[in-house]
Amino acid sequence: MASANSSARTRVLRPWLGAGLAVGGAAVMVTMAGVAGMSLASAQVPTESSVVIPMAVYQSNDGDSSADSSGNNSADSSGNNSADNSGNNSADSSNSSSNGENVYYGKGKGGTGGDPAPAPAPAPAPAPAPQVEVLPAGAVAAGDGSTSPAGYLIGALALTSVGGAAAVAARSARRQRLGRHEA
Amino acid sequence: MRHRLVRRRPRRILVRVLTGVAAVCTVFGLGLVACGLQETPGPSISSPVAVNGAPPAPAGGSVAAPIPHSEPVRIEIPVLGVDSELMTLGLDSGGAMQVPPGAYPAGWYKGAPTPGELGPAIIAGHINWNGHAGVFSKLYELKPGDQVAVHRRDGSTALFRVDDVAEYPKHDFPTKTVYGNIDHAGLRLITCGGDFDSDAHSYLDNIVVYASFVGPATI
Repeated sequence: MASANSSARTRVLRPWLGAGLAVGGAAVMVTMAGVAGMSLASAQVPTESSVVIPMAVYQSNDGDSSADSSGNNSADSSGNNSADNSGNNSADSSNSSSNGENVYYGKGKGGTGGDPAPAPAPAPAPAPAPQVEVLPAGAVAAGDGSTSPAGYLIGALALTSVGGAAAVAARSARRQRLGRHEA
Repeated sequence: MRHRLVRRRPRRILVRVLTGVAAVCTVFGLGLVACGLQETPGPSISSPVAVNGAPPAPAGGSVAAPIPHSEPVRIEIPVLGVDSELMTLGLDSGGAMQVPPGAYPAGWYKGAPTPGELGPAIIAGHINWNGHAGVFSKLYELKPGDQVAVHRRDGSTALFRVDDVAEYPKHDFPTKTVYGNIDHAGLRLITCGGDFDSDAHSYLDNIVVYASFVGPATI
């Protein structure tokens, strides 16, 4: 009696067994494909630090050179052109307060005159002419994401596989019905 | 009758298992289609800007002296099977580089040196456009040492050797690295790459091939 009950129960559960396996398998495959896609995407995009840091260094170098040249030039010109020592001192002190790199010039000019005059700062080398006359702004939009013929082919194959799966399922159902009639 | 019913059960189970396998294969195939439609380049592309702000140095071998100005008319990349005429590109109203109106041809940016002149010559092409694979659809497959030939209007051919292939996020495109001054005759091939942002209708990255002039030669 117990064996009859268990066989009846398994007979009831058996039709759901295949469907359950299919759904479970599909869920696993979708999860795996998703994880693979995420790992691919993360591998393609360079890390933020690897891209941003060198650019920041490059820009800060530019900024430093321009700041230095302008600061030094103004300090020299004001100091050399003015005949009043007190004027020089005040000008230098204001420069030193606004720009820490000009402290050296303030010490030299504000002394008793025994110190040798500092050598004039070398004129900054003229920037070379850009080889690319006008730099294009930003990136290049060279693609619209449209599908290629290979993509269409893959899509067709996928649809064919869907049809095949449907056919197999239909044939299975028909055989099941025939089997019940025969039984 | 009972004996016959027992013999049919394994076959039914087999059919169900096959149905399940077919369903799994279908789902997996659709996943592959979804990945394939994104035209995602391979992940093996380096990012030389990580080293410093300068463009990558020429790869091993000699670099030829620059040659006089002459506009390019055709580009060949034998290893990719690329053979395309070249059009002239300028800047659009926003200051960005124009792009060719179709999948072919590629275009040479007229604000840059001509290929073989001192400096970085710039050639851009689509990875895909309007449902067709673009002239630079396989640009990411180039490797250091591969050859690129650019035919010029004066009848000469400038031969370049690939130094590096880099992929940059568009929002951090290193303009000075790509377009900045160099001490030799170079070439920059530019196209799109990375994932496609369907909302922005744009790829997220640019692929840049750095190459150096090795001489006026034929391939």
